[in-house]
Amino acid sequence: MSYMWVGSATADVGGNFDVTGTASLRGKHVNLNDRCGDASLSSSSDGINWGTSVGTDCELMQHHINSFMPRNV
Amino acid sequence: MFRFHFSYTGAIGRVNGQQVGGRGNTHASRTTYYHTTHIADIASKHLPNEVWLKRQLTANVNINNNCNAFWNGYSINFYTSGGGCANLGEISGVVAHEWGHGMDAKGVAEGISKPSGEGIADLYAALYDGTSCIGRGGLSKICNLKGDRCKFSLGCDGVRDIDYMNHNSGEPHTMSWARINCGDSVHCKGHVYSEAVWSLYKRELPAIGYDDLTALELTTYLLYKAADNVVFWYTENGSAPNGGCGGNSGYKAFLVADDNDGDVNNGTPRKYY
Repeated sequence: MSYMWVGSATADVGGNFDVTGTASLRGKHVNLNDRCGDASLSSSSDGINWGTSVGTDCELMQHHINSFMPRNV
Repeated sequence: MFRFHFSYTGAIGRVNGQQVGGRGNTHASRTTYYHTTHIADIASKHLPNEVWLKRQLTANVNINNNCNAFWNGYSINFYTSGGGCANLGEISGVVAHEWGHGMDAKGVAEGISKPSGEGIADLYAALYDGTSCIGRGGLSKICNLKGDRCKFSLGCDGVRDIDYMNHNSGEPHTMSWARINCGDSVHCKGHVYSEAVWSLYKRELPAIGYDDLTALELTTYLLYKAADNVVFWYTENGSAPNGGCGGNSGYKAFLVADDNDGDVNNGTPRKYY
């Protein structure tokens, strides 16, 4: 993400960086603290992918299983 | 036959189904980081010498409470979901609004502007999001300004709508209206000037030929240039020096921001006065 600190470097406005290192949602403009816990990711050859989520607050992973009752065919 | 469908919920960021980044990699933390960074970057382009924008701002998310977010003089803070509200760290307009309080307080004219800093915080959010609905998605109901409800058909489920035409009354919320309906509410006092600036974008500038995108860019430019120096947007009794069109009013600050020859009395390039 834009201007995020990665290792000893700072990503540019497009989120690009050319070092290997760890990032933690801190950067040029923001120091992010989350009551849910710490955030940290190390760079790989694909960069740093924080992923996506659909839940809210501090929710951990849940599996929602929808089962359909048998029906006669 | 049985059919099983697995779906993942949870707030932690996920890549290929696997949680990554730790328990602090939440929807709120990513959203707040992204929007705070983005609006600070925009502001830095307009105000390259602003010292506060060169500093790192602390943002606290997922605070265990509901239905509020706030600037405390040093940091921006966001509560979790519940009580009829979304997690406000997940709402871009709320993030921009709280950042706006910081910008207002720490700009050239230090301190929260008077008679209310809510209007300028709403304006930073509105021009950032491109909507008069402040914090859209933040509430589980349509907004309501002290009985003057937001039009149901427009679906503004944010905390306020600063376009008076989007309220059932269709009338501007003046200081007189605020006195009668709101007592000393800073949010109502903020409407007095936030609605005026929003109208500059949506009505005055288009009326003299600007398309919507150009009007948005121009209003944003003027807002950053003007607001940084405003102490009083207006005085509540309309008297000099800051009331209405007074020398140190928000209105005059907009004219100065638009001026190109050091004399606002001979008009300004945009000719909106």
